[in-house]
Amino acid sequence: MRYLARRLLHGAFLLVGVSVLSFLFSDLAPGDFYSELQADPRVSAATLAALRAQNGLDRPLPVRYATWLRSVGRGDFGYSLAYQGPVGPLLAQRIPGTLLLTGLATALGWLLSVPLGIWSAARRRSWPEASLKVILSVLLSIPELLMAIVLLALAVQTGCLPAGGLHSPGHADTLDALRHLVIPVTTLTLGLLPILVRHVRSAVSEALDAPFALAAAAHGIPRRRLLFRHVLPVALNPLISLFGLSLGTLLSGSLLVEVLTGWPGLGPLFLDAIFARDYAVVLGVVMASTSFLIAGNLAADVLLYRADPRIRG
Amino acid sequence: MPAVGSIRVALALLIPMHGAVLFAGFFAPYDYAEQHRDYPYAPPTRIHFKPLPYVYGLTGDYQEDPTRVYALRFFAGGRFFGTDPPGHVFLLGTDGYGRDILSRVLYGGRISLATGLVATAWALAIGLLWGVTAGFFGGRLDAVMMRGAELFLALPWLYLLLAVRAFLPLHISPVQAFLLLVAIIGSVGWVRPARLVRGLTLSLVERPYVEAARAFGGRPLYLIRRHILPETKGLLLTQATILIPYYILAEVTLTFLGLGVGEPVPSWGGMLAEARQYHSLVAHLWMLTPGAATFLTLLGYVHLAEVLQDSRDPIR
Amino acid sequence: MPPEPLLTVRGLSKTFHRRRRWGAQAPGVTALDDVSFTLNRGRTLAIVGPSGSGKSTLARCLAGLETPTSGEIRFAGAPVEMQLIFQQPAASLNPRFIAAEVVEEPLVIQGRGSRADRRRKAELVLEKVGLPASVLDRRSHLLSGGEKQRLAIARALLVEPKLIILDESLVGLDVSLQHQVATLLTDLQSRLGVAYILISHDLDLAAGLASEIAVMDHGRIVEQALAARLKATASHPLTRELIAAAEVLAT
Repeated sequence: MRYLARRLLHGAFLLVGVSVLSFLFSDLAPGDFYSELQADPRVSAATLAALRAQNGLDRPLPVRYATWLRSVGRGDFGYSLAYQGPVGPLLAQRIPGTLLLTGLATALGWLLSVPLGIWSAARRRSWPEASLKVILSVLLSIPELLMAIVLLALAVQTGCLPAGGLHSPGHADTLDALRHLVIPVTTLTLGLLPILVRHVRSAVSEALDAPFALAAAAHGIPRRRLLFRHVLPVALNPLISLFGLSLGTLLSGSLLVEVLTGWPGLGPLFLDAIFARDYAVVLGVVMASTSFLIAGNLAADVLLYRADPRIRG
Repeated sequence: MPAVGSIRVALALLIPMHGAVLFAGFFAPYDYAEQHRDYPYAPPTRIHFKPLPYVYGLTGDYQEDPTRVYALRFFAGGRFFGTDPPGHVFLLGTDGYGRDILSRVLYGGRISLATGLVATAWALAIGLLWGVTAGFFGGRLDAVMMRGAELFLALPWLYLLLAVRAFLPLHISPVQAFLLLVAIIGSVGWVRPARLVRGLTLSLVERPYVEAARAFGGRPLYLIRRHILPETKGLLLTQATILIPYYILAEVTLTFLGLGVGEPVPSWGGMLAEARQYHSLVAHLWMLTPGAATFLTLLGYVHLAEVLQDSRDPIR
Repeated sequence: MPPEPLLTVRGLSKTFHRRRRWGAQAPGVTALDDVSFTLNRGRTLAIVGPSGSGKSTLARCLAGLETPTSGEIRFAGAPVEMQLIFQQPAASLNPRFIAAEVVEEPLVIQGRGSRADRRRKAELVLEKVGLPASVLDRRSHLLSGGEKQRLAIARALLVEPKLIILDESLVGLDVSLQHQVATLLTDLQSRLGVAYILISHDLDLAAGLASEIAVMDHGRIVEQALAARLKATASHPLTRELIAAAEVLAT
């Protein structure tokens, strides 16, 4: 329990640290939301100053940070100048989209890579396994950016899948949404596969070569039982850690795929906010993504704690 | 696959790619900004052999006109190949402004590859400095430095990249953009090398020969320079091969999103952004060649990294 | 008036604390507990005791590699004139260095003399330890155990030390090598007047080289006497154990 409490505290420290750094950074930023207006000769300097004062942009840093903290406490997470409203609801609107994509990709990814990895470890140094290695290397080298564009091109050329967005005009049903999900989820999963398979393969491989496994095999324990009851639980440990590590890559991939396919997640919100210099939204998305990463790692830590008696003892 | 053979495969991909990009001025048939307004979105020109290579002129709707024949010329006008005007040889087609895609891929590669390489050098420099300092001096300094470094791992890398980019000027000149990109991209991903260097430094600092040198009056700077830095070379090399493709991809992504090096400087990311448009996906698939170039480059580096990794600790 | 002793140690204590993140400080391990002794020029003191008795900690404190918790160390000379030779010769030489770089390192650090000067001094000191000058261009990790140890001693000699602390430096050498190095040490002492502190768990070896022996146990000096008289005057049970063990091995 103390272990988990420490991890939570660590997570809190990270969140605070990131928010402080972000505020410091935003202070260094040349210009703000109203900088575009500055170029407009019709808007007077006085108006700009008034606008800035109205939104508290002219207050000193600690004051702004404190205001933001209070707003977090209320659930507002700051005030978006572009949307003229609290950031919180904006995030709440988009988070499910990102979660859906990453969740599905994670599930599919692990579902596919665990069997593939085990098969690959069990059949080392055979040519089917070698060709799998090559395919995975190739897949690893295809950036998600390219993958998504290629899939979109395919969709457009064959016309069998929609080329983006959440719903086609005129349809609002689940089936339609599912069709729109195909390209984003496929892209993310294909990007995840090489990393996962490689790690599953090496984890199972190492466990298979460990003395306890060799001893068990020498005792005549059949291959399948050996694999599932003896080797897999040991291989689980590094894989749970991998889940936490690959989460960051997955979230980044999701950002890109959402922007590319027009899927309504945090990605497009983030990008628009950057171009609009809506720093409140930028900060909100940063905090959201950090929280996901921390939560994911914490979940991995909890699983690790339960799965590995050595940590408890 | 024996390691030697694999290195050759990786280098076979990387050396021609870097060479062609480096000498884009020679290998590209056209300048990157040269527009051919009469030939927007021209498909790739087909080369015929008689046995010497030649191309046909194009009609208004891009059909080949057998009455106009232009021979391919080599080493003419300081370029590897080209053809006499008014003929054109667009090996990879043209874009919306009639600019030769092949030439732009070659010139554009400069930005992407240069950013990747320089950003890697930058990140490794920071990582080395950070890791050696934390590992050598240990104690409180170490704890503070590594905790601080962790903040850079708290966000997913693309979110971090974009967030840092967000707080910097949006409209900047290409030169400024390049330097800025290098600094930003390097700020994502220096932490892992720093950790590895720190670990190595920690183990080295306790070695008796370092203590002996300390007993002779060796100052920290001397000890670091003479006993620790030489041992980091192997580590830095492997990290470099891992970071370079990552960073090339980061540049391509940023420019694709409109936050990188902008016009008129060509870059693979910018070209992919143009290719992304609906009508291009439908009808102008040759615009995706920068993607292929990125893929091949990444493939080469990924392969190189694997080979180096295998040689350091062979996977059973 | 007898000359001032070369080394005076008074009340030296060292406690190691385990670093804790938060909460009270963990109880420490007392490695040295009120250690006191003196050493005169040109003499050899052996410090004998079982593992964990604090011998190495004492050596490190003397050499300045650890800071004592309390107590006083007074050395009649510059810090660099007290040299420490480690237990494992291989570990005390940077494997990537060539022998010349190993030996010349003290001079390089002090920034004295030109390359040629350093080389000359290195050759001179190698002669003193019985190594040929040709050794200088070989990679340090390719030398034999005995050569490495002699190289380490040569390196220490380069700065013309008044005191050399040998921390279990003869362990791990085969008997003939031990004999060689021991002879070398005695020879150097008579020629150059170097004082030694010899740290060992081997009483016999200590008795052979030292004029005075101190027995350590759990961080304290429990017995101290002239080597020749130790057997006769041994009163502490540990001393008697050590003597008995040495005799068993001798027979």
